[in-house]
Parts: sequence; structure tokens; C-alpha cells
Amino acid sequence: MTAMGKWIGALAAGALPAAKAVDLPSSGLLDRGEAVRFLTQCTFGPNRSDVDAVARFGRDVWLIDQINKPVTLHLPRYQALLSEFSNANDARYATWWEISLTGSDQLRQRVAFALSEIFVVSETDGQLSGRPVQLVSYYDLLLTHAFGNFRDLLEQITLSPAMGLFLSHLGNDQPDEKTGRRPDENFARELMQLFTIGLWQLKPDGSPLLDSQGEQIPTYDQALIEEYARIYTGWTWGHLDRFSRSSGGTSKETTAPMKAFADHHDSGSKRLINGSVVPAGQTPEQDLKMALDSLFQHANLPPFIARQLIIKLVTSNPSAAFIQRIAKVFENNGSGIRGDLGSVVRSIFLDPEARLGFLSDQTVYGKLKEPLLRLAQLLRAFDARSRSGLYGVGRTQSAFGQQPLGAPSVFNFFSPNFQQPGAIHEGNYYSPEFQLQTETQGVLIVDALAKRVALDAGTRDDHAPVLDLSPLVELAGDSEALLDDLDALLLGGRMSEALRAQLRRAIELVPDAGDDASRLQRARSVLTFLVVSPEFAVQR
Amino acid sequence: MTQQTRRDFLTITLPAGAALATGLAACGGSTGGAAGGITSAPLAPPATFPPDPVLPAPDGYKALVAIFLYGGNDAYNTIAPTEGSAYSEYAKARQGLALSQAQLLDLGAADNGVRFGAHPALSDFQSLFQKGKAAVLANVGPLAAPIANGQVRASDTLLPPRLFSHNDQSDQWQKTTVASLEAVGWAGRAADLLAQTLPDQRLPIGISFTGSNLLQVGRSQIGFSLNTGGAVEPSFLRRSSAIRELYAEMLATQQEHLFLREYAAGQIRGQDYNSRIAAALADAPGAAVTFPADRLGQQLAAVAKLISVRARLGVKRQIFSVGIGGFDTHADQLGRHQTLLQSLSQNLEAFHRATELMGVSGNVTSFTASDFGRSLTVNGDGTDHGWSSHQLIVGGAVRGGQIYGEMPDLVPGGARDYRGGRFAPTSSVDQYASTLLQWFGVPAAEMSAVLPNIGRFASGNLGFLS
Repeated sequence: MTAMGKWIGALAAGALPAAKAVDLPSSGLLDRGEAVRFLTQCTFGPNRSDVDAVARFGRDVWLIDQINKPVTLHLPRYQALLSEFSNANDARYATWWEISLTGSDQLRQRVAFALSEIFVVSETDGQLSGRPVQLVSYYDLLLTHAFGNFRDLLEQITLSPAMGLFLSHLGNDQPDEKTGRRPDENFARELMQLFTIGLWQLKPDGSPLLDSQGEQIPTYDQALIEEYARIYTGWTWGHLDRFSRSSGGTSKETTAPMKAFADHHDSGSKRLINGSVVPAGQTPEQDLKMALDSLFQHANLPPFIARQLIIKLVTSNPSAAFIQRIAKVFENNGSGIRGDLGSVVRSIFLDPEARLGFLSDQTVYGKLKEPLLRLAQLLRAFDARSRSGLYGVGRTQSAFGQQPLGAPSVFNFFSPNFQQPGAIHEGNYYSPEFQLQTETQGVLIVDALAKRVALDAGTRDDHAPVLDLSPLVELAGDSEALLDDLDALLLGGRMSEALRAQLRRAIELVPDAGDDASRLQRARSVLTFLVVSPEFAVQR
Repeated sequence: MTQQTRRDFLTITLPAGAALATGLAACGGSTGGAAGGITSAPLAPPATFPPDPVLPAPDGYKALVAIFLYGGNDAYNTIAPTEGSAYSEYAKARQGLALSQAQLLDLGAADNGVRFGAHPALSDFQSLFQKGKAAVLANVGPLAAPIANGQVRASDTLLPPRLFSHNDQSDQWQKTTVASLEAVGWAGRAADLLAQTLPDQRLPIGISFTGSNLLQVGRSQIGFSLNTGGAVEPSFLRRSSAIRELYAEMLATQQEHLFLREYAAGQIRGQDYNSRIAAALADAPGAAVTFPADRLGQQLAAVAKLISVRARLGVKRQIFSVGIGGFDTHADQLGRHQTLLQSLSQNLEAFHRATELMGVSGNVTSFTASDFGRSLTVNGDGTDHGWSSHQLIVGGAVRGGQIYGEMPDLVPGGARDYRGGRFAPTSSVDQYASTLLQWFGVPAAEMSAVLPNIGRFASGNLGFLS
């Protein structure tokens, strides 16, 4: 009941709107199955106490409370964990797992993870592989601005040294006519293509705008990229006194935003996407403000970001109406503010399609869970802990095909437009996460999940989180009670009859000797089959 | 995976550390075509492909190995002019990135009479080239139709859609410039055609070691991804036959939901293919070649090992995809490119030697591909996204020691420059693919079934394979 205590505390502290706080029915507002479905979308996985809380107080109250919760930043924990691991990258992974699994600001942690797969930086990059502190700081930036204004997020991303290193606008120098040197176009291109407006002009519902010939209309061309590339010149490390691409040694490097040097900035006039002109002779800061404003005000941005967030969090094939509803909130949060991400996130999870889409569409609605989210859901559902208290999940690239901030390129682990060959492509549906789930990776993921279930407290690894299966052991003498509990906790009460029959057989593969040892084996057997089942792999 | 659960590909060929490969998925990104905009209306090919013709069964074994250089390999520092005004123009445009004449490894004269050389990291490649086992195809890339000199910027010129975008151009290389919504790759289409002549081949023709791969996607053949560490199996299935039966039943359960169905189908395929490969690899001797202990070495060693058990696998035609990233050299290009090309060169040599030792060097052709070439002009210490590029082809069937295609004049603003030294190709990916596939066994008369645009180009065979 500690979660309940915190809830009452939050209510007393006025963190929740008073109107929502009165007249709570004692039996709870919400069906527990729906609470599980909701938490599967907006956290790293439902656990018993969060299900209690959402069922008791309802979704919107829970969302508002989550949005108002203080940020659990990763950098302080990372710095504390550096002494526990010989490799700084392992400290970064342990930080990510600990806070993703246990942070009370679950909504923010989950949304930041989605943002990290849209505004991608990666440890696989040569510049970032040896700079985990920059990656951790970048993640904190996403956490900090997850419910803030998109315009601020855009600027912070642009000026972060991690992004500057990754897309090489850190140290991007003004052009030199004598040598023919041009500005670096990397950031200018990907900022438009992947982070803000995309390649094609969109209608407010995210569908492509067509010209009189029925053709799609590009949002920009190569010449415009060159204009923006000139704007992003003159920026480098925040600690430097002179313009240089080199930091002067990693020990001197700062995680502070990049700083501009006017004498290395292209101060000529430049054309913007909205047709206006950046006048010559402005400071780098003035130019940047105009450039980012032009993208922030672009008509593509609301539907582009709305779709990106919906497909990362809720469903791979949202209706145009769903995208348009969220895009509208992005355009105006009701108080005349554009880009209010807190309102956008809340609207996504409260949207009728997020809540009820699974009823109206039982054949496509939903998404394949990312492999890391399957693992996180398992660990959270059974409150996994290690002997040391740390969360040494370690490298997951090989077994799961994924690692936090470890995408192979700025294109993330999977494309938002990937269509699995076969029936999904033939139906013209998108299935982004399937790009990561190749046949062989699928086998490896299943193997790794099953091994996690099998891991017992006797493991030699002090840092390895081990599932607490005691709630299942208590029930394992009664197959039906055990199945009911697993169904409620992991599938929101929607387990199919076929799966239930198969899982019953999984329990009965181990005879019940009436003791804890055999009941633990029964619990492990059924949980193994549940986490490798198609029903667990797909969020609906 | 614990070590004992896999039949290791690399037990002999690689040090233990290198054998613990990671399975990189999704590298390079292949996207579906639903959002694809079509700009080539005047010459648009049919919306669907013609029906597959019936072909006779092929003789012998042949394999193609596609080596993707993800990120866009800088062609102009891979192969550069070594003499005269051509070198001066190159050096002027390339500034601090220019390689010196003395560094470049001579490859002889190209079509324009100018001698060209390879990047200094490509010494093993140069050696293969000089032995006649390797060739260069110059200035190749996606084209909707041929582009005449001086016409690149003309308003009526057909351009491939979304030039200079990584994922889109990578897709163009894999699909070829097909104005079709079908997201099929040219290797997958060839596999569709050839598979019907190979009723006894139980594995798909396409195998990828670089994740989900549009190149290998056909309509019935979709290829599959394999891990360089060897065949894999979920270890919990080894506990009892009752567990195996229950899991098989779970995956075979009828599913109403498309994603559940496709998830289960993928798991079934993964288990089936991996177990076939595990059986073929059991007790197979390792190749007596040591590959570089890097990512490309792991992948090509795995390809060599699979080729060594081709008879046990019962395969006659195979198309492998391998690839490495890091070629998007916007910054710090000189050092990064050196490392990448050295890996490429050493691995091409090791792989070719492995095929020679297996007696199949004439049956295996390796070729490179990339998102695009890079801009001739520089941005300081790097280059930006370009269009055409030079590619390398290696194998016993290669008519080697030659540079094929037409070398562009390396002058920004020249007759084939789109903008800033991003040159329009003179050979299309269709022609490159067609040449490879004719050798592989697709009859020239049937090539338009695989490459619907091939008829737009003068020749469907560029001559680099015998």
C-alpha cells in the first residue's frame, strides 16, 4: 500500500486538481484490465502497485500526477555508479535499467525513451562511443523537456554536444571560397528529414498533400539544406575560448550546450523554408532562433511529431483522425500554446483510439513490443532485484538487438515506415519494430527472456536482477488461480482460451509435490511460456 | 546464448573473442514503399511485375555476396586519378582530403585514358585487381533513365526520388529505380524466378548477416537473417520433447491478429532455418583462412562457412548480404575512411582466398554497394551526401584488372554535376544488377521481369563477368 500512501500524499500536497480528487469511489474508478493495458502503453510495464493506483484513481489523475512528478535524472546516478563498474558504459546501462525500472516518474522515463528513438544519438558512433557522459546528459535533456515545450526541446537537442558530435555540426565552420570548403550538411538534413518535418508536405492528419498531378510534394530540396547548413556554422564545445572542432581532451569536455563564435559563423543572408530571409550580419544565436522557429512553425511538424509519438507508444497504424486530434493539441494546447508536449502526451494516452482501438480493430491495432520493453515489462512485473542492489542487465545488443542509445545510425533501430514482407506489407500496414525482429533475432530474444525467467537467486552475478516469483509460488498449487493472476498482471485479463490451455499444460509439465520447490518450477514453466508467446510480444 | 547451444561458424577461423558476434539488426534501414512518391510518370513501368517465366534447372553452384557500405562510401577517395590535369582537378576540389599521387595504388587507365589508383588502404584489393580477380565499376548509381551530359538540371530530366537521403537512396540501390509501390529488392525478385527451378532447395536463396534487408525481399522469397555467431536455438527447448511440442503448438495456433500471426511465422522460420543450418554445420571442418577480427570479417567468415557446407544444405543458388556502417564521413574522414577501407580490402582478399581453397572461386562473386557516393566538394574535414559512386567486384568469374564504366570529370559545376560535386551516374544500378544476375543464371531475355527499367538503358551487361 505504499503507492496508495504516496497517492494520498500527492492529493494532500495539491499536486492534483481538486476537482479530480473528490468523490473517489472506494471500489476504484477503473477496470484493472484496462489499467494494465494503459500502463503497458505509458510505462516500462505494469506492476501490482501501479495497477492498484491507476485502478483506484483513474487514468487522467494518474497522468497529471506523473507529469507533475520531479524528474529522476540519470547523470547523478551514473556518476555514483562509475565506481561500481570497471567500464563506464556498464555504469550507463546500469543507470538506465535502474531508473527505467524503478523511477517513480514512469511516464516521463517511458516518453523519454520514445524521444531517444526519434531524436537519435548513438554510442555506435565513433565520436560518442568513448563519451558515455555525453550520452547520459543527452538522455537527461530528453527527460527534462519530455513534458515541456517542443521548441525548447528542439533548441536543447540542437545545442547538445552529443548531437553536435553525432551529426557533426559541432565545429561546423563557415564556408571558404578560396578553398571551396562548404558547411557540413549533416545536421541540417537530418533535423528536417527525421526530427521535425519529414520529406513530404503533409495534411493536418498526417497523410501526404498532393499536387494537381496527384504527386507528393517535397518539403525542401538540396539547395535549402545548404542554406540551413550555413546557419548552423560557428558552434562548438561550450568550454572553448577559440573556435575548434577539437575539445582539447576529453577530461576538459563539458556537457553544457554548445557555444557560438561569430568569427566562424557564415553571416551572409540565408533563405528559410517559410520563404523569409535571414538578414546578413546577424549573430549565430539570432540566425539559429530564426531557423528553429521556421521549423517549429512549419505545418508538417504537428502531424509529423504526433505520428512519431503515437507509433512509438500506442499503435503502429493510427487512424488519420487520431493523428489529427493529437496534431491539433500540438498546435494549440487549449491555452494558445504550440508545442506543449505534456498536453500532447496526455492526449495521446487518453485518446479514444488509444483506449478503445483494440475493440474496434482486432486484426491490426497495436504494435510489436520492442525487445527491451518486453524485458523491462518482465522485470518490473516481478520486481526484479540483484544481491548488490544494482541493475546489472549489461549489454543487450546481441541478445535483444537493442541497447539504450545504441541504434546503428540516426535512423534508429527500425524505421517508422518499415513494412514486414508478406501479409503486413501486402495489407499496406506499417510494422516498425518488426525490422529489428528478424527471424534469428527473434529466436535470440525468446532465448534471453526464457533465461531471465530461469535465473535464480543463486546466480554468480551479484548485479544480475532476479525475478521475485514468490507471488506466483503462493498460487502455484492451483493452476487456475495462477493463470488468472498471470493473465491479470501481464495481459490485462485478455488471455486467449488457446493460450490459457497451453499455459495450463506448461504448469502441469511439473507435478505439484506440495512444496515450494516444485511450485517454483511450475511458476517458472508457465511464465517461460507466457513471455515467449505471441500474445505477450504484441501490445494491443 | 551460451556457447554450447550454437554450432559455431567460426571455431577455426577466428579468435574466441571475435567469434562472439553481435547480431546487428536494421542496419542501413530499409523502409517500406507505401509513402513513396513517384515522379517518373512519362516512363512509368507497369504497376506490377509480369508473371515469372519457367526456367530450366541450373547447373552447379553459384553465390552472390552483396557487401553494403552503409552511410555512403566516398567513391572519389576510394578510386582517384593519379596523373595530369585529372589529378590536379581532383586535388583542387578535395583540398585537405586529397590523397597524394604517390599514395595511390595504380589500377591502370580508365575509359577516358587517365590512370587511376586505389586508396592506400586497398593494397590487397589492388593485388586482386592485378591478378585479374577484381574489377571496378565507375560512376554507378540509381537512375530513372539515362541522363545526357549537361542535362542533369534540365527540368524534364527524370531523377530518382529523394536523392541524397540515406534510407531512400539505400532503398533505391536495393530496389533499383522502380516506380512501383511493391517493396521488393532485385535479389528477391531474382530469387522468386530462380526458386521455381530449384524445388529441392529447402532454404531461401537470400541470407542476410546485416539484418532485415530489402534487397532480399521478393514476392514469395523473402530471405532471412542469420547471426554470425552460428545457428541459434532457444535453450529452454532442449529440456524436453514435451516442451518442444508445446512451444510448436503455441506458435502454430491460429491467430486473428496480423502482428501475432507474423510474429509466430517469423519464429517458426527462424527455428526451421537455424536448425537446418545447425545440422549442416555439425562437425563441418572450418575454413583454413583467418579473417580480420572485425565485423565484416565475422560476416564473411560465416558466409564462407555456409558455402563450405553447400552440399549438405542442398543449395545451388545463394545470395548473401553482409555490411558494415561508418561510411557517412561528414567529419574526420581521412582517418575513418582509412580504417574502413582497410577492413574492406583485407576481407575481400581473405574471402576470395577462402573460396579458392574451397575450389569455388569461379562460382562466387562479391560486389560492393552503398547508399550513395559523397560530394566531391568538402566541408572541412569531411564530405556530404552525393549520388554516383564507384563499386568493387571480386571473384574468379570477374574479368578483372579493368575499370568499367565511364569516369566522371572531377570538376564541380561540370557537365554531370547536379550540385556541389554530386555527379549523375553514367551506369545505372539496374545495369550493375543485370550484369551480376546474368552471370547468376537469370537469362537476359527474362531480365525485365526482375529489373523492369532495364530496357531504358543501352546495355544489360556491362561486361565485368564472364
